[in-house]
Amino acid sequence: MSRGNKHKGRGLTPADAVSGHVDDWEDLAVDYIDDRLDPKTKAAIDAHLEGCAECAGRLRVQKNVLTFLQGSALEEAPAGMEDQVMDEVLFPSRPVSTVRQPASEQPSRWSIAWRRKIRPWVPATVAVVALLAAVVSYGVIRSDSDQTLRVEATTTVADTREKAAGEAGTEEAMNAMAATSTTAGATTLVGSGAPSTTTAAAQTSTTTTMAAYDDATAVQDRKTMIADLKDAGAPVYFYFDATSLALTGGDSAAAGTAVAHQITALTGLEPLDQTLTLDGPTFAAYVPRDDATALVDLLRSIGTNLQLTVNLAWQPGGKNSDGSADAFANILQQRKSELPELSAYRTPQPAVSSWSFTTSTLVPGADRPPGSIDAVTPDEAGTHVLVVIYVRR
Amino acid sequence: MSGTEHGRDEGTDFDMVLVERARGGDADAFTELYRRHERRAYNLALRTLGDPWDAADVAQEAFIKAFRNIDSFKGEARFGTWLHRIVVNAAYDHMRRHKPEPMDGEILADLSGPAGSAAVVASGRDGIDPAVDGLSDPLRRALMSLNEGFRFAVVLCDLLGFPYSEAAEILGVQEGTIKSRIFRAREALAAALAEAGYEIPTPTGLAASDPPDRNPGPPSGVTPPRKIGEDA
Repeated sequence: MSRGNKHKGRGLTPADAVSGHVDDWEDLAVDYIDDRLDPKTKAAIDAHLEGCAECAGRLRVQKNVLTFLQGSALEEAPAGMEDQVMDEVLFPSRPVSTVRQPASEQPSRWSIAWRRKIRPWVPATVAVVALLAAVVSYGVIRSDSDQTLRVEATTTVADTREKAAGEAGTEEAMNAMAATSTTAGATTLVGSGAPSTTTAAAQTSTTTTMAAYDDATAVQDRKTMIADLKDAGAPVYFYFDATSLALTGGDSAAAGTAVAHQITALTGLEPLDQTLTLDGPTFAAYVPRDDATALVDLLRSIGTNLQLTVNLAWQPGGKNSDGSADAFANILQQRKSELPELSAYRTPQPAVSSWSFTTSTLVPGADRPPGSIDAVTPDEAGTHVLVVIYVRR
Repeated sequence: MSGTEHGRDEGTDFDMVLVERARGGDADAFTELYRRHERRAYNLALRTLGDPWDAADVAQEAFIKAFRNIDSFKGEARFGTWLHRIVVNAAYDHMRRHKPEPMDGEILADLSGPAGSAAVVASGRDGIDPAVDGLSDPLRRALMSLNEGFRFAVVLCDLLGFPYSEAAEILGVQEGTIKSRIFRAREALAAALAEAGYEIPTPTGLAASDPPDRNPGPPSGVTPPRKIGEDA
């Protein structure tokens, strides 16, 4: 069969083009079956078929098979496929590409979408100043190309407020600035004005222990945290406390820093420039109640050699009425049962190795000073929850 | 069957609207995009791989890949073209790997924490229950007897109704090549079906009294000589 010459027929008359058998004009035959040929070519093929039983028979086969295939019904896609696709797309079970990106790089759209939903929490020590001059301070961890990490103390000054507010005015600006999540977050911060951030020069190595709080400062911060939430109409009584531990027995400080960097890459949250109770990086954000589980999913996608313990603490009615850990645990279990998705997490690979509820965070104890978070009455009507992430070194 | 699941031109425009929304982080836009294309994407995988489980895996993988990389879709092609190219690539990859994923529906050990919460793996095929392939067994076997290039062409055009030009884009070949492959694929299918004792119903008349909905376009390209099933 000399198929190679069939396109030479393009410059010939239609009759010449189909003078040989159909092997030489397969493409024309397909168009003939589809009835898409110009009249002259069609007539030429008709003429050929009248005198060539072989080609006529083969074109009948073409038509038969085409009709048969077109009459074959399509199958419905499996019912569970949509859920699996959307679940994997929205809440990746393995780290998305942004995990390994420095925080300063453009994040994925997923991160942007997520970041629009979260609002950084402003620690009390700076919130006090914010009342006076709208100064907000954040810690920003960025990764250098050589993987060493720097901590940049970022300071907001009052005269940057207008700039930030202007920048926040457009969606494009949101996208553009999402890589600097402190700014993106600030645009959605409600309550105490419009804090904004700018990066200052102060840099130090993260291998230097971050400033640790004394008890009194921690208590004050927690009280401020509660007050902020109440101002925002948000309940406190449902928050996640994620602690990451390096299980490799290696450099725990470096591991903690790596985890902090991953959290930043995944969630857009920057570590606070001071820790609350532990000596590792601390993150805090207001998160829509319905999205709290999504944040946990993001955190769970971190790392293969890490243990991420998610502590769900919930305190209905504020202070435990009888002050007992058992009662609190019962309430927690009840709350958990109301949120079945929290107890049915997938644990794909790579994955966290455990996931648990604990009542320890909010249980009043002898070591808890009066006026601590345990004593605050919640606002259950709110829509946001506070997520606090501690990265332990 | 010929033609489209939804209006081609309007659908294409709306796809772009959805893509833009999806890029902005709109989860509903992703869902809508999925629903508009799931049937053909799944059937493309099903008809070319022959196994509903494999097809579900491949189609799912392709959607996830497409959605995660939606920023890299530049709009030079239709979204559907781009998506189905990803499906084709995923299907080819699957054929190369031969074996299905080993750890489907596996339940890992109870990872209870102090308060006793468990974690159950629900990955892979868990939760997916593809319907049994409705194609007759002879046709499925006949399709699988074609070599891959012919199979993809005939499935895209004759089963799924893609225009030749779009199938050419999806497969990265000339439109003339598509037509040639389809021609020979049909002949091979007829022969394989006849061999299996399956009689194809004969439509009345040879000329297309009910022409398929193809996008018109002049034949073009050079078709390399190939025999059907030479490496099937």
